[in-house]
Amino acid sequence: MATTKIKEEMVKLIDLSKCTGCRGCQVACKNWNSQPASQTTNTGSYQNPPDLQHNTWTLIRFQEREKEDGSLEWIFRKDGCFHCTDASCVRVCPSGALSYGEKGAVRLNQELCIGCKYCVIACPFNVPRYDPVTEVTYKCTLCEDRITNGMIPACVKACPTGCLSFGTKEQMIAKGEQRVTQLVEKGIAASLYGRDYVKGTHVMYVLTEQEKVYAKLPVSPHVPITVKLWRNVAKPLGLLSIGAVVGAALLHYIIKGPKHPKEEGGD
Amino acid sequence: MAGQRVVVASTPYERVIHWVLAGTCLFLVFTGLLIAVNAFAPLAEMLGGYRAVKEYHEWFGLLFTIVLVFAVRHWYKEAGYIDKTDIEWMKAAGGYLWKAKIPEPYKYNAGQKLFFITVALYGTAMVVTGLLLWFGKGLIWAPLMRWMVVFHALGVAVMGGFSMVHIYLGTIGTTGSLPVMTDGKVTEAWAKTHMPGYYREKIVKGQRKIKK
Repeated sequence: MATTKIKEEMVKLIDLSKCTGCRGCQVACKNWNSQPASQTTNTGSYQNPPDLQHNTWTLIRFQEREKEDGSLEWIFRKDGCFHCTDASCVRVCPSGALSYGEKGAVRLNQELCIGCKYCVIACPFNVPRYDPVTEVTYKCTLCEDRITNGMIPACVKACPTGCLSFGTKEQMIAKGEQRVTQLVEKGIAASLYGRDYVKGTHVMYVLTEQEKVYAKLPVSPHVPITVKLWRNVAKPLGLLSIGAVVGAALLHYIIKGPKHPKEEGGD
Repeated sequence: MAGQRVVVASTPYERVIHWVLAGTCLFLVFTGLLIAVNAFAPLAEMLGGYRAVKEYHEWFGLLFTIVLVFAVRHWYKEAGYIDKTDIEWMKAAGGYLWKAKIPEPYKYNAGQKLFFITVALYGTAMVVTGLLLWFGKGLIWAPLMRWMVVFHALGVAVMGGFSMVHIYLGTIGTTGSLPVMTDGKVTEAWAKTHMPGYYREKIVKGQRKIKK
C-alpha cells in the first residue's frame, strides 16, 4: 500500500520539559483544521475534551501524580498521532485510505475510508477516532497541507515555549538527544521517545519521567503481533486454504476418481 | 436413470436452509476476501467500491446469523456429535484416499458431521467476532479485540477451505450426490451406499422422513 516514497523525513519534537499545558497547540490544531469544539462536562480535570476525538486530533493530557516523597507533580503531555514508519494502521487498512506521505506523515484519506475501524483497533497508540455521523475515521495529518508548502505544523507554530519544534529527522533527533543529555545532567530521568519504536516515529518526545509514568503512553510500543498475524498469516492462509483444497479436489478427481454408489457401476 | 427407484433424501425445508446458508456463507467468504486482499481492488470497484462491499458483508452477515440458528437447530441432533464409528471413518479418510473398510453411517458420515460442527462452531465465532468488529469498538480491551480480528480473518481459511471440500464431495466427487440438495431425489443405490441406516428405515418401515 505504501506507494509514496518518503523523500525528506520530517519530525515533530515535543520537549515535555518545556510544556506549560497552555493548550495553544490544541487550539491551533482546531483552528487550522476548522474543527468546532464540542460541549463537555467538567470532571475536575483541566484536560478538555476528556480524550482525542474525531475532531480533536491533539490534546494536552493533564495528569496529577504523587511522587515517592509525597509531593505532587503535574504532568502535561501533548498526545496525537505518532506517524510511525511501520504503521499498524497502514498495514491493516483494506481500502488504501491510509498511506505514507513523502515527509513521513501517515496519511488518512477520508474519501477512501470505509469506516471499518480496523485502524482504530490496530493502532498501538490508540489514536484514530471514528466519527459515527460521517462514518469515517480521522486523526492528525502532521499538517501535510502546511509542511509540503514550506510551513511548519499549526501546533508547532502556536507553541509559545519552544516545547514543540519541527525539522528534519536528523535535526530533531540531534536536538532531542542534546536536550536529554542536558536534563540527565540535572538529575532528571529524561529520554528520547520514538526514535527506535515502530522503525521510528515522526513525532518524538523528550520525556522527563520514565515511560511508564505517563498515562496512556505505551511503553516500548511496537506493531502488535496480532496485527502481523492478521495481515501476514491469516490473509495468505485463507487464499492458500481455498486454493489448496480446489487443487487437491481436482487432483483427486483425476487420479482417484469420484466415488460411485455401490451396485450401480457409475453413471 | 429412468425407471430407477428413487428415494427422497431431504425435505424442502432442509434444502431451503441449506441454500440460503450456503449462499450467504460463500458471499461472505467472497466479500471478506475482497476486503482482505488488496489485489482484488478492481473487483471491489465493480461491486460499487469498498464501502459498498463492507456494507454487503455486514448485512449478509446478519442473514447468515439468522439462517445459522435455523440450520444448527435442525441438524445438531443428526450431525452435531462424533462417535466411535466416526473416528474409524476419519482414520480411513472416508475411503476417499486409499482402499479402506469404512463403517456404515446412518445418514451422515463423519466428514459431513465434522463439516456441520465446523460451520456451527466457527460460524458462531465469525458471528461473534463480526458483531464485535461492527459495533464493539471500545467495549473490550484493544489487544483482545485484535485477537478477535485474527480469528475473523482465519474464517476464510477454515470456512472457505472446508466449504470447497464440501462442494467437491457434494458434486463431482461423489457421483449422484447433488440431487440431495436439488430436488431431494436420489437413486436407491446412492441411498444404500451413502445413507444405509436411513435407507433401511425408509424401506423397512416405509417412512418418508426421519421423525425426531
